[in-house]
Amino acid sequence: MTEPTTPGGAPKPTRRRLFQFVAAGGLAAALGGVGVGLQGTAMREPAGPLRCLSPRAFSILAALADRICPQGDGFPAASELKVAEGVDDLMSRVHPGDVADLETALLFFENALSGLLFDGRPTPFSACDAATQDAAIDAFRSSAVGARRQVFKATYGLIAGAYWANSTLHTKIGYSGQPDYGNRRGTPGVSRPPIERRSLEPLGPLDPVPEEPVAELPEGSEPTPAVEEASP
Amino acid sequence: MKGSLTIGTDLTADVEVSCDVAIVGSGAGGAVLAAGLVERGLKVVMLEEGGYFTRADFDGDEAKVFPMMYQDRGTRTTADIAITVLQGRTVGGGTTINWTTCFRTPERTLENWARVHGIEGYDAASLAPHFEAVEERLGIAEWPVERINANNDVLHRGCTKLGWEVTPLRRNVRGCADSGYCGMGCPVGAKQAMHRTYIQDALDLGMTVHADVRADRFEVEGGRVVAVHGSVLERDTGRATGTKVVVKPKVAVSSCGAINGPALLLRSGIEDGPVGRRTFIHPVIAVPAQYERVINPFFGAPQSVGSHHFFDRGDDHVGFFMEAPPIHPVLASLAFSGFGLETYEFMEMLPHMSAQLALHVDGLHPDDDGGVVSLRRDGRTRLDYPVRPFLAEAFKKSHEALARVHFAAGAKRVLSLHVPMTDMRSVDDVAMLADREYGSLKHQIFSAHQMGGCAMGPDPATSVVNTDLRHHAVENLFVVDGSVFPTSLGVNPSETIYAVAHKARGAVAAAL
Repeated sequence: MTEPTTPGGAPKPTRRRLFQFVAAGGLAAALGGVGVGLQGTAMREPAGPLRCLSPRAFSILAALADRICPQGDGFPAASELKVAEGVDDLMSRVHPGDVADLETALLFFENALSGLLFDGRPTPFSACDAATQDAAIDAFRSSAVGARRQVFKATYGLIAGAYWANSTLHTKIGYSGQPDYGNRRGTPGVSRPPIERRSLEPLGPLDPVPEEPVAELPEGSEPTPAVEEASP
Repeated sequence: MKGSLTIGTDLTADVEVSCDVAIVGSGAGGAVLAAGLVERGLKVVMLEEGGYFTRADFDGDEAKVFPMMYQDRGTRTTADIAITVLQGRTVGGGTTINWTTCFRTPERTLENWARVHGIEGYDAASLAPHFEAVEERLGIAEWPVERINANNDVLHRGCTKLGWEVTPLRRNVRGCADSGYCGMGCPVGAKQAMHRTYIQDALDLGMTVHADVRADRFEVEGGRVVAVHGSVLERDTGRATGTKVVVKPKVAVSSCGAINGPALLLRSGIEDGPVGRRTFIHPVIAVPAQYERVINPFFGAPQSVGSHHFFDRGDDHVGFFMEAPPIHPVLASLAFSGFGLETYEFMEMLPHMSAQLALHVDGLHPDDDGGVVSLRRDGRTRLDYPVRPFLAEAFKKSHEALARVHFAAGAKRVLSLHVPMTDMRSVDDVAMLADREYGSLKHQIFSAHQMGGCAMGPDPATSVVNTDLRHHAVENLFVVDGSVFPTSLGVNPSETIYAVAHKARGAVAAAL
């Protein structure tokens, strides 16, 4: 069976040919997209062994952190404060599913294909110059697509929190920090603190037993008031 | 002290113990209940997944506090990431890191519980003795208005000028040093948190507390909890060490709060009734402002005045109340969405910054079902919380109200936490807020109060526990925490949880 043709000899448009065209075009676009999407991440070297993030995810995170908190106005860049390493450490203590979600979000940020489709950015985020990265961050932050705003919010909070938790920045923003009440020796998780039995004022008495049905008290088990030790 | 408290590193071999009552969770509900039960001579074992921290640990370092003392290491959010959820995870639960604000339950809320949800025995008069008891034990008293800090003075001054109701708030402190660090654990031991009060009382009388132990599930046989299965956690990593704790109680109590409590029931296969549904979070929006004068919002007692002027906006509108939080660098940075050098400009405002909060009263609007707690396939807890149109309307109204408070208090610049921010320079600019969008991922939203998910009520079809807080289907299981509230409260919830737990002591003891 021969294909129908136009008077000029070109194949006549048919539904079948239209489908073939769309399929071929789609395949070409997909292949091109895959090519775009597979462009390499600009890798960064962490200060020490990574605790949970993949090297690629770490590199994207570090690049993002350096634009959210860049060097300037007297403030150090996030990389100077090892912010990405701090996020890696924090995430190593949460559910592995949360780590996987973060890696997915970072890859979405990085992906050149989605960058091309949404923002006309055909380069992975980590490999872009600073101005392009800033434009990409702003595009995510103010996107009409909710999933892109989610990606921004998820990554932004971790980076900003890790950056501003660094006490070396606090003087510069006029934050005096907690006064020293003589308790800057806390090392949670390292040693067992003694059971605290101090207060600045005596604690009140035990609250009265309510007038409701209660179990019988076994003999000799009368409630006794708490005894406060004197403050040292 | 007759009792004992272990932390994770103490438990190197599996533990199996029998007791009268096993309580999962050591916060406002579990602690008050436990103290009342050991007073009656009952053997109580308490499991707490968080660590045990004391004054020695509370050094005001946000870098340590959020990862060590908050749920999910401070990263908890709703499933859509739109709402940041701050929730404690310590011996003492949220009371270790809350901002100390105490209220009795508003009569409007109690009236709604009776009228809409059929709840009897929770009117103001019935609860009064329980409130009185916990107020005495916890030193709950009104904060002197002459001691309010500059950030609270903004709310006080602004509302007063506008003719809006504003009052001093009550706090559970004794000997407060005005540090402003309540949210990181009280550094002077003034806050009457559970680990310093009711848990201490219960330890003195013989309770056993296992900190760093996560309750994995209740084992149910023949309609009764026969065991609570727990795993010892390594505090720094949160990973299970492999050591198991099994508690075989006569009565089991879930006191691990909204979100974690419903999740525990679901993990245990206890799915009767609307477990996880009608979860309420007092969704919070914040409006910061810049002042010429120094505010230092990180110093001084937080939330020492408040306004309920917009609490009751009628049944067809969501009400809100206003309070003034402490602002420290990490918390401030999480509220901001700017990047690059604008971040530094924002953060350098800190000493001159005031921020005010509006907390929205969810669950009272007739169409408001709140959020839903469920389990993901990988076992993680999930909270879905949609912002419905009536809540978005309230967000708009509260943004406008807080902006007006700031300008009335003398702010030179007021910001909304939209992307991009609305930058208002005079009260005339408040009109700009009318053109902004409100809802999930449109602006910052937080939650520090989690309630509901195991609602009490008379009908097993619409509630999880009865008004004695006993589970409708599992005979020896109680739920004693904020998850039993059928709506949000319209006030900071800790004191209501204390009182409800105090009231539940009799019913739990009588179940033995």
